[in-house]
Amino acid sequence: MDSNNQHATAQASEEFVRNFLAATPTPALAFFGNSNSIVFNTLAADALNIAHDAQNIDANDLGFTVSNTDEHFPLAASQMPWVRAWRGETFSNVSLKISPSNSSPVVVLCSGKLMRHPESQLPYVAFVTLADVTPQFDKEMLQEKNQQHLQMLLAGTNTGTWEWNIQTGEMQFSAQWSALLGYSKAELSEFNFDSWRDLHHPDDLPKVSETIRAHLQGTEPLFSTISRIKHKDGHWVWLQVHGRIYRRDDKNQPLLLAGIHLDVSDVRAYEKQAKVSESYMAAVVNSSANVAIIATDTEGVITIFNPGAQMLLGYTEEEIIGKHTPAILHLESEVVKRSIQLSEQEGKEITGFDVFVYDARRGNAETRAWTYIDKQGEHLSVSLTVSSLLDDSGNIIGFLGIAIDETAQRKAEEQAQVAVQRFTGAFESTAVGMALVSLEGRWMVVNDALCQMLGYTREELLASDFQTITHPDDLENDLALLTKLLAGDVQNYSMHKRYYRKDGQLIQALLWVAIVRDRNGAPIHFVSQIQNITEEYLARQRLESSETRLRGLFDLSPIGIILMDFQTGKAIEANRAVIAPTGYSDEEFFQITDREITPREYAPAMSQAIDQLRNTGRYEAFEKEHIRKDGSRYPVLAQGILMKEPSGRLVVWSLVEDISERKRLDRIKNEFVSTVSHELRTPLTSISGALSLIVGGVLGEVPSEILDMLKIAAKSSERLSLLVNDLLDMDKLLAGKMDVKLELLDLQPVINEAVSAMAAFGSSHGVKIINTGKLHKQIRTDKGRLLQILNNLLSNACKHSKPGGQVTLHCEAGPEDSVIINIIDNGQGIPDEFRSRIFQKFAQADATDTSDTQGTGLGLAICKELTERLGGVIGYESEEGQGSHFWIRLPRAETEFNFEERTPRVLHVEDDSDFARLVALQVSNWIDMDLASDLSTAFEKIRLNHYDLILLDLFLPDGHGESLWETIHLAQPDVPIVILSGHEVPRKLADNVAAVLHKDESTLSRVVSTLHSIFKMGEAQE
Amino acid sequence: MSTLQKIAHVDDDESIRAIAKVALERIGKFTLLSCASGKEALERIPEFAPDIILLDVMMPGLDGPTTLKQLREKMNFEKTAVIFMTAKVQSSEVEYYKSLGAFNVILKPFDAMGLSDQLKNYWVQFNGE
Repeated sequence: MDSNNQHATAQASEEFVRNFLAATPTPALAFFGNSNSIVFNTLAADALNIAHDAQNIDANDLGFTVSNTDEHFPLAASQMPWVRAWRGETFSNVSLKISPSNSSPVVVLCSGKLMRHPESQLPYVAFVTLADVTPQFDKEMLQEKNQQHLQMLLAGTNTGTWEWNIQTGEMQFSAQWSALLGYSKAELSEFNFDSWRDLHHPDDLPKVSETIRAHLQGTEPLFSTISRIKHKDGHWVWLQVHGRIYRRDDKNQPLLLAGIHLDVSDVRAYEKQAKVSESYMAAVVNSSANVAIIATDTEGVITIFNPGAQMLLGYTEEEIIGKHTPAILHLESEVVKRSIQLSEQEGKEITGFDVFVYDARRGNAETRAWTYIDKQGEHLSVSLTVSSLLDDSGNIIGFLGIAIDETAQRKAEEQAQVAVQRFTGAFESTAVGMALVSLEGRWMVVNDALCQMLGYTREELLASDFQTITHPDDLENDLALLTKLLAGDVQNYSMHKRYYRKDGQLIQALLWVAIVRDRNGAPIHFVSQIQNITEEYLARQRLESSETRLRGLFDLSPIGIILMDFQTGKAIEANRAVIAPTGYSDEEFFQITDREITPREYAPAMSQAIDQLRNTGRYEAFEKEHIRKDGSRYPVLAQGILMKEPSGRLVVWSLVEDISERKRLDRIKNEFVSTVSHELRTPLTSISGALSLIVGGVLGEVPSEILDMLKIAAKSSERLSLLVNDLLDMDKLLAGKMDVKLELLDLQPVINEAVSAMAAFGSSHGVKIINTGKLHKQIRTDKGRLLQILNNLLSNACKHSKPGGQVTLHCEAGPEDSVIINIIDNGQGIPDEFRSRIFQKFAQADATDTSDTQGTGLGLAICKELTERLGGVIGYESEEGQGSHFWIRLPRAETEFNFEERTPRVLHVEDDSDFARLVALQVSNWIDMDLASDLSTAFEKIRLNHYDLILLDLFLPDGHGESLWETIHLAQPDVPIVILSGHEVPRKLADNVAAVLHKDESTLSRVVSTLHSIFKMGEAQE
Repeated sequence: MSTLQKIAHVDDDESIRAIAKVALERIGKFTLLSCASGKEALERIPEFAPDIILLDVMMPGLDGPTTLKQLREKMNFEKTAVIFMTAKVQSSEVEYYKSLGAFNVILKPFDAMGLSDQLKNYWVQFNGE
């Protein structure tokens, strides 16, 4: 509006408005708000199909409606563009649709402005231009419709679209795209090219980048690939992308690239499946090492030759692919034969490859035995199955042959046949009963051994079942096990059961049963093996009952039996008789050791027993005490042996006898003997006194016949007195009540007294006692006891001498101022069988042979006891029929032998002087070794000397060492004897010496160590 | 030294007394007083005043040692030798009897024929040499 208009008058103003409108090059209208009327210019009138002459149209009655372009509802009056302009609003290019009542709608772009009155400044007129944009609008509408179509299309195909500004990197995504990948539109607004690229699967990204690059460089017309893009929830979505540059900038550089993404996950899954199937197939073909698979094309040219075929035929894949099958693999004669056969059958000539695929071509897979020829020219029997390979449309594209090597199968069948024969042979020839048993228990097949075992014929047995002949008490167990076997809980079972033989006899058997199943696991029958163990069973029963008996013996034995661990001294087993007297419970007893229940003072005896065990494998009976739980003691007698258990553990079996009662009885007996003997003395005194007085003629003459009788009575009463005296002496000696009073004496008067005292006795036997070798020497002894000993020995010598014989008493000086008194007779000697008992009580050589010797049987026992009480040693040498030589060696004074103070003296009895010298050399620095090269020298040396140990060879020039051993063992049991011999040592000897060493096995050092340990033992006990 | 003449013998056993009587009276020609118990000995020996008393050790009632002990209260033993007769042979017992005042011990069974000579020997010893 220029300034001229502002100066127009009111009258001229309406005219001015009309002219102005007419001059406006675009459709326009003027709205007079005060009168609510509108004036259109002609362009506007044309556009709105309004009459050119129509002036001042009522705004309320326009003849057309105004609406927004995308709506059909008319705008409210207040929203009319002219009303908005009248209200003072200035606007431009507002799209509105104006729909005239009798023509097609027009789309206009409206711009509006209010004009005010130049003087009053009141609203005067509102101008609105209406640019007709209908043609453009229609075009846009069309495009939009197309786009909508496209959108719908894309939505229907799971297609998302996107647009990439190559230069800025900005990206736009369609709603579809976002839906495809689970993002909201807002989230995607943040996306640029980089973040979009990052969504790709790392494996696919190189390919995607490469494809984009190729397209941008123009080498590829399209950016097209398949890749995985990450869904918002994490999984991968397979997308097919097609993209293309659709705008370039002024410099022809790519600006915008648009693309679509098509979800092809389903397709990919399908492809994958196909690929998997394919690889399965390949794996099957390749891994079928036992099956030859050969595929050909329709003409018989080999396309597949799998490892199984390679193995079977010996060709490599390279050698065979592309070759023609029948020519190379088949036996020509067979092909010709089949050709003739087929040709006749079908009435037309069929040859070559067609022979094999004739059936397959007709859709039938054909299996037939053929002979293949391998690379080496070997013929192979195969079973060949041929089928056709079809494409999707059912057209034959080739043939597949699967060949199974029948050669191996045939061999296996032959082997199976052999195995069956072998089994049958074993089945029939075995000594063990065998049977096939039906599921119901019926015998199906039985062998001879079983028939014999059960006493039935084969026919009888086959008509029966196992239940019938099973002992009823075993049946339930057997059936239960069978049920388990049937159920598959166990693979087999074995049991001990009893069968009845046909003759009714019961047999003990070991049954072993397995089950045979078919290929599907269904049971067919049982295989039973039945072994007759009746013999073994009875033997075991006997053993068990013997064990039971022994166990009973062990448990009930009144003598204690205990098994101890040799190392620990702990009890392993002990019976009641051991445990009960101790007062301990069983549990307590097995916790304490032998040493703990033995008083301390028995330690030496215990260690001696242990040494005996170690050296000889047993320990001799010795008395000791046990301490009860309450602290009191009781005496026991223990003896035992060492044993090695299979495990290698050393154990000691000991008999431990509670001898409290025996001790008490011994005491009672001794007291009884003592009392009786004592009481006997008084009447004996009277009898012998009275008789001696009469016989002595004190009371006058007695007729000679009566006197003879009285003399017999007197002599007998004297013997009785002697017996009673001996008994009392022995009793006292054993009870330790015999007093010995040692005093310094001249030896010779005592000897003379003894000889003269016995002279009368000697002459009564017709024996003369002579005293040779007078020795004037003093000894410390008890005269009375020494006389008692000499009387005994002399009277023995006299009694055992022949009438007219001579008994020699000879004294000589011994080592260390000792005295040796020898009493030698040349009577009948001592019988071998008596030697072991010679110093025992009531020992007499032979009961039938005592009539002329008369003795109490206590003499030598008393002599030995008395000699030892006097600190001496007694011994003898004797040969039957050659007389006896008894000797006693008495010390000058009480001599206690002490190894610590004295060098031990050892006598080596050995005829090999070189060997003896070697031994002596080994121990010369601590043992005083003496040598005796024969028995007589040895006896002499033993008599004359005290030795602490005897090293004894058994075979000596003048006899066996056993006699020497006997003398020492009986007379000086404390002197250890070690047998060192090259010969076998009798058991009796071996058990009763300190050690046995074999010359050929023992080294000198072994001898030395044995001697050492024995003397060490001596020291330990001091 | 007076001659051995009077001997008292105390023993509860009648047969021993009888044998001793024969042995001592017939062989030794001694005067003998036989007593059957310690009690009788106490009553009769002091009056008898023997040179030797043969005293059995084991007697019912008063035994030998008790009898000797009580006899000592009744008589002087200066000139009387006491000899015990016993079946026990222990040397320690001999010492014991000697400590009671016995001159010696004769063991039973004794030698009846030699008894008189034996007593004569002891009597010589008792009187010194």
